[in-house]
Amino acid sequence: MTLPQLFSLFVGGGICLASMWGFVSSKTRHFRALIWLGIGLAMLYAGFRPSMIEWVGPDSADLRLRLVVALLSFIVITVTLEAIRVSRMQERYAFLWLLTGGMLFVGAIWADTAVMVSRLTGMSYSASVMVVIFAFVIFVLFHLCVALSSQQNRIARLVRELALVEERLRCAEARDNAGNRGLPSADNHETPSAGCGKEPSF
Amino acid sequence: MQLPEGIIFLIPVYNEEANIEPLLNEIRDLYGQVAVCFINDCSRDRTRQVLRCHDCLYLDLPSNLGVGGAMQAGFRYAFEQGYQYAVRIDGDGQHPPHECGKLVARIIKGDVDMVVGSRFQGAGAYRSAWCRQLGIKGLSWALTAACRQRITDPTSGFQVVNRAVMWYMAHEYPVDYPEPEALALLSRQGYRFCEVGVEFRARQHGVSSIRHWGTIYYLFKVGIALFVDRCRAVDPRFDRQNVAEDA
Repeated sequence: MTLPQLFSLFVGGGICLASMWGFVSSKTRHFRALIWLGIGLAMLYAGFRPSMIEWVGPDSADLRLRLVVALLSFIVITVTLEAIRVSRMQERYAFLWLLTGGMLFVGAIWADTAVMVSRLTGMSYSASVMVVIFAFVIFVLFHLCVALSSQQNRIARLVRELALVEERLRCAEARDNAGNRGLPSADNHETPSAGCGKEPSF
Repeated sequence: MQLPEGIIFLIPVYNEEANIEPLLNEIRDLYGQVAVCFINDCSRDRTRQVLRCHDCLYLDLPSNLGVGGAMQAGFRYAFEQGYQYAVRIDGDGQHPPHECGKLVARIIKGDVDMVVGSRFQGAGAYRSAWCRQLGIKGLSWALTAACRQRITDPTSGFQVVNRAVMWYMAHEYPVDYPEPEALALLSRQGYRFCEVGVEFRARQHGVSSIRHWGTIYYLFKVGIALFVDRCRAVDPRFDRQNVAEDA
């Protein structure tokens, strides 16, 4: 155990405990508490893996890349959850995004994933290619998801409205028909009753 | 059995042409001329024609919204028409109408806003596929923790609600697989609800809409929704206190 490791363990553990307490006792915003929990866990992890602390000093490029990918996956997952929360992105669209974030995270934890994919597909320099493509497509796709969700919500509202209006119209027509024929009209709309909305026969 | 005034049955149906008539007859035999409103979620079979031939209310949605969207339309209709309580039962005949009396008797006491019929508190032990039971166990555990009250059947769509909940659900109701998330949302907004043990029946005709991969998506969707809802701020417009004055 080196000093930086101990430091990382202690601080990370402290942040974890504090954020969990904040989450449970609702003293802080839940979302903020979770972000802090993530940071705390990362520090704990760094404490157990000396290589992660050595990164601050001289180290391999591979490790830096993995850290970048880990950060990327964290951002993807956080932004997706935040989009569900704030802009009401529907969960079915979030599925792919969380999957993407999860795969990136896997790639960051097991460095061999990138090597394996690059060996499978024959792409050398795989990681950088993937990062570039990902960064490029991400904005467009994300925008699309949010737009689609809001669109769907609007259509749903419209459809409900239409169904209600149609039902009201049917009621009015049935009443009209009854009135024209001089029959006692079933006009008891104040007290709810069944079967006011008879379909006119064609 | 006599139900109090101002009750409406809301029954979402999707491709249930064979189930409508038996269900409607059963309700009429038990409760006489109570208001029954079917919400036809743009079925692809003859559901619409069947509904037209019967003496009941129905909302005919021009596009498929899923059970959540359909129920939202139903709750909104019930609220606007001034009903005091809405009984929600499924169109597949799994929820026996004769059990409604228990639920209604519980809600007219007035100390809860919603009563849910639970399969797992009733006399007959309900059996289903093991993976589904595992999912239900997990959900009920999560919801029990989230609502700080024991929930035995989180996926039950057999419910009776009062005007306050009707109003809330007419505005905020999850889109697909709404029941577990709705419980968490209601509890968060300060509504009170409880469970009453009822006996469910086996499905009469047709097939369930949740199968195979649906179960996995169900768990994913509901899990994410439960988690994110807890991170959302409580909406003061729909808080129990504020709604009570409007409703």
